[in-house]
Amino acid sequence: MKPYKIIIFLFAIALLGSCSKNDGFTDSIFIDTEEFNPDSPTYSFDLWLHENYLKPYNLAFKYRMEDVGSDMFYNLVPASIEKSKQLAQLTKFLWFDVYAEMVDEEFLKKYGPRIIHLIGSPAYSPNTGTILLGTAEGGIKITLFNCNNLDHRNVNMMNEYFFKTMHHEFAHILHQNKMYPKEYEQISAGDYSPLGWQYLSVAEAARLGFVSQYSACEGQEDFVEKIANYLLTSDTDWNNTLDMAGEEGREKIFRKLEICSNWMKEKWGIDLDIMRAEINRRQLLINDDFFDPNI
Amino acid sequence: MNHRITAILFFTSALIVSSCTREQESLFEQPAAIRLNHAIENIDSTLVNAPNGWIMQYFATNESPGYSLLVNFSSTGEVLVAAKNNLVRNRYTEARSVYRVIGDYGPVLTFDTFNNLLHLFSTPENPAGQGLGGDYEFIINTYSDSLIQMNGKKRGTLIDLERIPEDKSWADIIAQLESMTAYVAGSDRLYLVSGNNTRIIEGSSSFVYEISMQGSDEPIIMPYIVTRDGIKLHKPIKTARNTEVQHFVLSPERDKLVASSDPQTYITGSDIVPFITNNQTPYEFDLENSSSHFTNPAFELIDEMHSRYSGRRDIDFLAITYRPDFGHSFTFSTKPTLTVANFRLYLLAHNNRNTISIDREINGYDQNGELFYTNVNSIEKFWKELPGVYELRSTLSKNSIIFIDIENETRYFKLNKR
Ligand SMILES: [Zn+2]
Repeated sequence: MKPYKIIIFLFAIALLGSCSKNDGFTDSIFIDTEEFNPDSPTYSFDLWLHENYLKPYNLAFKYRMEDVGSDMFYNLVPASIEKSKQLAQLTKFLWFDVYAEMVDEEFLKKYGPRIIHLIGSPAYSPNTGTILLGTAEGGIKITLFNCNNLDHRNVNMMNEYFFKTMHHEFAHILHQNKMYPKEYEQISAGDYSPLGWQYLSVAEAARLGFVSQYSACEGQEDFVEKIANYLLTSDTDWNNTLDMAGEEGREKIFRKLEICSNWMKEKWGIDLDIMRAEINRRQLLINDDFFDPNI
Repeated sequence: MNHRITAILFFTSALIVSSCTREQESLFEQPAAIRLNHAIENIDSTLVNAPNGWIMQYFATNESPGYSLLVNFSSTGEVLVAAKNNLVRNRYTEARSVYRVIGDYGPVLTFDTFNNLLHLFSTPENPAGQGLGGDYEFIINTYSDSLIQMNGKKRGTLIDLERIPEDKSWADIIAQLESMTAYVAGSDRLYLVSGNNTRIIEGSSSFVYEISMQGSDEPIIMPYIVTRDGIKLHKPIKTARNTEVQHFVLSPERDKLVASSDPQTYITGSDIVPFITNNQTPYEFDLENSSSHFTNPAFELIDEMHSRYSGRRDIDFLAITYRPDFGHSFTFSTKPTLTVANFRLYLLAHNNRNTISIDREINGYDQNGELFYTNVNSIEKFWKELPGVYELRSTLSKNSIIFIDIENETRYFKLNKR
């Protein structure tokens, strides 16, 4: 992985709508053709996913590789059952439970994805030398790559590869439902570069008022990156970014962050700082004993 | 949209599949989806109804070596894979995961959670994005109770599942494959003989043959896999006799692989005598497979070295070696203090085919040899036992060579390539 300098998200955002207006989704959308077989080696896990994702959130958590629908361009392998179990528990604890606690369970049932699909390997893009961390299709399906390299002892890695992707994507869904103020994009107008962003260094991006390289791609990406990075970056790393940004960049970051905070508060009733603290608190609880051995 | 494509493509593969199902005729009258479901059920039960599982003859690509994976499918959806190969440092390794047979482009066997053995071939690392380039989803072309023939879904590589007999344990199978590998895979050049025609084969030890006409510079790249009775080429090839050959069975003398579809086509090695007289790779004495004429003085030598040097210079191995500046010698190496001593031998071709004479030069030792020789009496005992006239027997690989005294067949020693 080391030679890959640039790590990016690539989101295939379909037109907004389908997921915001689909309150009518019911469990019947996912008819379980495979009834749970108590002899199956994944019986307890399948049951747990049913109870913790499908029932409360109408979400199919797919850990078995579905190559049928995935891109033949990439060479991928499935996720291991062991890492899938860990990631399923972490995702619930660090994402779904956070929203359930800060808003309510209905929130993610209404706005959250319908499918999470795990892939074991990274998706290397030979042409650009980048790695795909995740894809999201219209907010309906989120695909997470590199699951076999999940290391629950390495919070930064988990955030970089998995949780930033989730929060990034989810922020897209939220702004597709309730648009953020137009003035946000004016702060960095002229600095967005849909093709050139990957040639920026982290420091150069920071000086322009971006908290990640990908933020410089376009306004929407800047907006969701701001939220995802603020929620999931440690104090040390966040302060590093601010240091790199210099006075001018820092000023832009603060102005944009303030718009994000106000928007989250006014439109969704979520206090970004409280949520950040809550995620941080939960991340400190992840250790070897965190995982349920009976799943 | 996908469904329509699937249905059309499936129709062609259904023709192949249904030809080997028991309900051939009725299947044709059924709509594609029902036929597909039928095939899936049949394949699933065929997989599960092999209590001892299958040997998966795995080729990652058309130019990659063949690997044997032992695979057992359970009706619970679990699959157990076992292997012992260089990808797992030649340690017997097992890995469990799940599998299913799905309908895609026809019936497809997919290993859809990560398996530490099977997915080694498709993990996109080293080089990044690529890996070994193998498949883990297989389109099933034909199936029967004894053989399932598949194509990798992405690469199209041919991969077979051969049913493992119920009276053979997995340990038996692996042992068989290992000893067959030792017989047939070696670094020496081989020859593909077909009637009057001879082609050169390189690459035996890497399990990828490069077969060339003498004088031609464009070899055919043809991987092979070791089987329980010989080898199987990844694909059939056409011989100079215009026959097609793919399976080769090891001869009883273990020095030839004979094509099962054409006994006049076979793979053989170079003559053993010029090989051994020109060889520069050390060959170690195999004291478990040599007669007491040689093992008694060898063990005496080992004991004496141990007591004479109080365990500081124990014999690590005894060998016949060659050095350009010294010629052939009987050599030993010591541990933990590393020293090497050489005692000169002459290896000469004898009049009879496959026969060699060994002679020695009295006092023909190097500097270390002289020091040890004056201090350890049993060196002379072992050294003087070696001269004689021997008939050589070797396997195709020349990984081991047996020297049999032509005057006394109970007097013999075996050398293994180091
Ligand atoms: Zn995005």
